[in-house]
This record gives sequence, C-alpha cells and structure tokens, in this order.
Amino acid sequence: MNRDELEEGLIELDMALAKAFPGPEAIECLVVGGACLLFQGITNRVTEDIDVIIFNLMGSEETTLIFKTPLATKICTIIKRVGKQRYGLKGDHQLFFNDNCAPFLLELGRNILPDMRLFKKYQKLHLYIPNDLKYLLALKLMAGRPEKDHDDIRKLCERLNVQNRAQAKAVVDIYFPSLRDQFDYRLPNTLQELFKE
Amino acid sequence: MRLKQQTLATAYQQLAAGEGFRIAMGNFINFFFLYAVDDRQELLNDPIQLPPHPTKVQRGWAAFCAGAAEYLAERYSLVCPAWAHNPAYCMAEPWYTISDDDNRELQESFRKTTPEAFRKRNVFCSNRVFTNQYPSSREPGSLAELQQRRVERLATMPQAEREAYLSQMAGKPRIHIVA
Repeated sequence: MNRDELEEGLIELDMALAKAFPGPEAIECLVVGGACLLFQGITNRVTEDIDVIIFNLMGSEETTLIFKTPLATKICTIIKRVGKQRYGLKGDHQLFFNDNCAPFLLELGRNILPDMRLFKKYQKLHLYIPNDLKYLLALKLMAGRPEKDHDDIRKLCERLNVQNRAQAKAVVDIYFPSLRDQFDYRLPNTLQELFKE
Repeated sequence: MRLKQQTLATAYQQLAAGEGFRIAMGNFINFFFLYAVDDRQELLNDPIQLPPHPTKVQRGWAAFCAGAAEYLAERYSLVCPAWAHNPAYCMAEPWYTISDDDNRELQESFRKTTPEAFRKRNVFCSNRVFTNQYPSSREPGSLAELQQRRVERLATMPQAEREAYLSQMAGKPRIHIVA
C-alpha cells in the first residue's frame, strides 16, 4: 500500500468502527514501523501493514488487540472484514492494522511511549506519530535486523546527522537506556556492524 | 487495491529487478508470518526464475532464496521444494546480503552467524534475517523469546526491583502528547 492506499484503508476502517461503536470514545494509538516512515516522508516505499501501539482503546481498561477479549475480538473482526474486502486478504490473518509490535516496544520502553503528536484524527481512529525521528532510529537499532532496516537506518541517520557509533548509541540511550536491554538486543553488535568508530 | 500473495518466487523476481530487501522480502515475511500462515508451503513451492545472463547480484539473491526455502522449511515443518536444491543456486565466492564492501565488521558478523542453509550456498546474512513481531514467528527475537527472557529476568531480580518493574509495566502506557 502506498500512502494514499493506506489512508483509504484507514478511512474505511474508521467508518466501520464508527458504525459498530457509535459512542464518542476513540481508539488512540501511536503509529510506528513502515507506515510511520511513510507518513513522515522518510520513505516512499509501500508497506503492507500498519503497526501501532494502542494507548486508549475506547476508554476501556484494555490497550491491546492481542488478547482475545470480547472488545478486542469485535475490533479485530472489523479489521479483518476490511482487510478481506479492501485488500483481498484471506483466512484468519487479515489484520492489516495490528499491534503485534506493542509487547516488544512497551517492554523496551518500560511502558512509557515517546513524546508524540497527533497525525490524523478520524472519527474513531486517532493516530499519533513520534514527535522526534530519533525514536524510530532507536527502535531500528534495537531491532537489529540489518537486512530489513539497513536502508531506513541510513536514511534516518542522514536526516538526523548521526555519523558514528557514539552518536548512534546516544540516540538509543535517550529511549532505551537499560544496558541489559541493549545487551539482550545485541545493540553493541549492531552498532559495530553499521557504524564506524 | 488487492494485495497479491507474495511468494518467495515473487520476492526473488522483485529482488532480481532491483527492489530492496525491505519490500521484496519484507512483504514475503508479512505473508509467511501473518497473512498466509496456513498456506506457507505454497509460498515456497513455486520455483524462482533466474533471468537470462544473470548478474552476480541476481545469482546471489537466487542462492539466498534457495537458502531461505530450506531454512524456513526446516524451521516450520514444511517440505523444502526441489528447486531449492538446484546446485546452480550456490555462489562460487562468498556473497553478502548487504552489498557494503567497505563494512568488514558486518561481513565478519555475518560469517559468524549465518544459518547453515545459507552458508552452504556461500551466502552470508544475519541470523535475524526473518526476525519479525508476529506471534507465529519462531525466529530469534520472537514474542515467545521475549516472554521467556522476561520470566528469566524477573526470576533473577531482587524483590524490590521486581516489584518496581512490575509496577512500572502495569496499566496503560504512559504518554505525553505534544501540541
């Protein structure tokens, strides 16, 4: 999906959610991953899913679609229906809008999300993006997926003028300062692989 | 707009045409681990099509895809398709998935960690080449691995630290919205 197709899908999803949940409560979430890079103009590449971290699920105590509660199940059914109708996705795996990344990122951030700003406010879906691109770079460095993230890391480093290992480490330290986490996620290796001293 | 099923053969076709790893293999990963979990075998079955007079890069990605078919078949109880055993999909010299000739550190790291299915084809990549966040994943860095790590970490924490950690992780994520 390019940016327009992504937004069309979100509008359709929002309308379906508004119909199913007529009350005023919204789903508020932080967009991360490829969709966020697309929205921020860092890349223009297509993406096939929208990764989010939900911090308000229509006023309920829940904040994730991962557990099969009645509310999450109802929302997931709507997402799957839109995924099937709009994108032709099959079977039980049509969650083009999902928060599968949330457990990883909330664990890493100790349940604290970065400063964020409103990006799009639909009727039911309120989408936020990180206020500082450094968060996205920190995530990618912690993820340690050189093949997948190499180009994005390079583009983010250019944009943020990050040129060496120490500067990259300083960016990660802002959001994920735990040395144990950094070690568990192989950060020293990733920095050594990707940056000159 | 309909999403077309991203088989390994389709991913190869895109890589051979110059598409980046993130899109070509990233979309394959989305299908393998999220959208088509029940049809994984189909994603591997179609043979890749090497272009006439392939370049070194096109041969490299072909060997990578053959390695990927074998690696994924082994890890997810699938059948490795016959095409992946074609000896043509093997590089004469070491070939790296990231074409950064200046980066000796990365190459050294890849040489240490490349899974066997790639190594035997003389292709070198990271051992997190298929890492993803989807629950069906058994790759390094999977959700199951995260949960296991959390259990181990909690078990070794002093009580006060454990309580502080659990209290921090409880409840909704803490946010700060900038106007």
